[in-house]
Amino acid sequence: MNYNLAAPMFRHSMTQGSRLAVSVGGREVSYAELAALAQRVARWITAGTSRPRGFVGVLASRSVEAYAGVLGTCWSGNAYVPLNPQLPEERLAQLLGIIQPVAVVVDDAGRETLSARVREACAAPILSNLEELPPFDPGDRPCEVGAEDVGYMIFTSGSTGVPKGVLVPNRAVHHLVSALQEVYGFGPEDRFSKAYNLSFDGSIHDMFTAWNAGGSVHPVPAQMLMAPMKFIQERRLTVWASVPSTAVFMERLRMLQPGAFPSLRCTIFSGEPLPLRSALAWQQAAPNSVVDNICGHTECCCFSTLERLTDSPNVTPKRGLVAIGKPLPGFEAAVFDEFCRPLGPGQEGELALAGPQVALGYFGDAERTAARFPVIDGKVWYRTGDLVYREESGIYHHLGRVDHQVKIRGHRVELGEVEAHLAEICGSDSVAAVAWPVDHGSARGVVAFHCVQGLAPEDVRDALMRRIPRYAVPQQVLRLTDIPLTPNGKIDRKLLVEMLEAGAVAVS
Amino acid sequence: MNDRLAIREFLQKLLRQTGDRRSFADSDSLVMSGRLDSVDTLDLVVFLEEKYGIDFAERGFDKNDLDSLDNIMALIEAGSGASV
Repeated sequence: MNYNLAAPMFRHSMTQGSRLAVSVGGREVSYAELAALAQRVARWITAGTSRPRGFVGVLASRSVEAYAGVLGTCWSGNAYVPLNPQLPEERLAQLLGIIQPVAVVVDDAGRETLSARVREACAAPILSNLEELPPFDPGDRPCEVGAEDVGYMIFTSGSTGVPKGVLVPNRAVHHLVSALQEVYGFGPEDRFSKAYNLSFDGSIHDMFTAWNAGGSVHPVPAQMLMAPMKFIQERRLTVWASVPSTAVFMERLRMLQPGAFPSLRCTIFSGEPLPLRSALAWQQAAPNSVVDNICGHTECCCFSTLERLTDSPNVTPKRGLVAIGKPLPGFEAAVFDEFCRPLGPGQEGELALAGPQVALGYFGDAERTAARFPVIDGKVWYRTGDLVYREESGIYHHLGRVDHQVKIRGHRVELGEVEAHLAEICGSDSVAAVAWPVDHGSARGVVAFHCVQGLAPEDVRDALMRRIPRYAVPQQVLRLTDIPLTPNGKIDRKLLVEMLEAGAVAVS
Repeated sequence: MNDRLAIREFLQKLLRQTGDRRSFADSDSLVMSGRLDSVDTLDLVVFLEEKYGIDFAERGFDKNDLDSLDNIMALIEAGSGASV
């Protein structure tokens, strides 16, 4: 069996070539056109490198180039690495230095990021114009790849300041797509939203489940992402997947009127906690749709557990959030204590997952891979870091984190990463970062603390802006006399949050 | 107080809430650039709905319309509630 991620799209191109595969930026691209583009990108990649297999950077977003780059990379047997064109220059150069790509595909937005500094970090050939591609070869097929070969790598925040590259094998995507197909029964008539950015792992669902089903992908323009009411209506979408913030925002704008989205039949919220109130409002607006809360992890190929909204919804007590439900087909889930010993129903501990969607580990980081992916009785588990408990019925509830990872509008941020950069900028280790304020389990931003006199908050923010993604840059930078510590000598983040809540922090 | 000044003051208030004390020109990007986040944007929407009668549920929502002071003024001048 060929596990090439471009294979399902290619099969549809042979049987229903004229059907719409993706509609983006005013361009309607059919399956036949998309397959031809992918094949030409693959030929360009293999012509430019003598390395048998490597990474191809896709420095693009919401464009034909982005999807041709992803599928062309897969077709060629290489692994794609999505790189967000909105990343700061230093971060982009750092990531390119880590992956040493065999090639890079860029779109208009990606081309603008190619400064001298970024080019210096990347010696690989760059494809910036699809017109430059070699001609289409109708006899070519997606390259044979195996289940364990890497399909893609996505970077997430790393607590030491260096991003972690999660290596995801083809079998994980293959399994995700099969599991979702089993749950939802997607078909060629389905019209899928693409709200998640390419560098956000939800995009794996957006693209590969859609092209597996022979449906069409509809990337949501960035300016409409917050409240895509008209987009859903005009495109007559049948499948919506996004972070719950979209529902929260639209509810507040009174856009979730009863029956507003009759075309939707599947709604998937993931990436952050789902408030019950917004889920119910969405259900009213989309009466023909199932509304599912999916908990996901980049290390488990984006989606792991599912809870469907019903007339008597499972709500996590005291949080007003929809439960995270039960594992998707094929997953085994457990609650671990700190020594990876399984806990029983009702006991709080760390969510651990095993099964065919578990990633291979972190690129070039055997130590951290061993810590997060322990092998127990011959089975590989992923320790998610999510604090959960399981009901007797098998329903899981999310309570927060066991570590210092936070979610800012769906993006994973390690507070340790912010602190590592902050310490370098301040020239002092007496720094701290906390997520604040937090509403319904979702953080709105990061607040940073330091103890250096005469350091302007704007200068610290500007320096951070050049190093880390914008969503991780603290909205406030405050100076304290000392960073409060716990009796164990660790940063007392709880006290810092209490100080912020009480307004008891002096702004420098 | 004229409309442009009133909206500028409101935008300044939103920015200050998140510790952003930098000045901005009438044409500077505030939403697409990330200086105002989604919660700030929501506050701005409520302000514009209440003060100028703009109905976003009717007209749809496009971040570009709110991205700068100039864009907001154009939105108001285009007529409250007018569908695009």
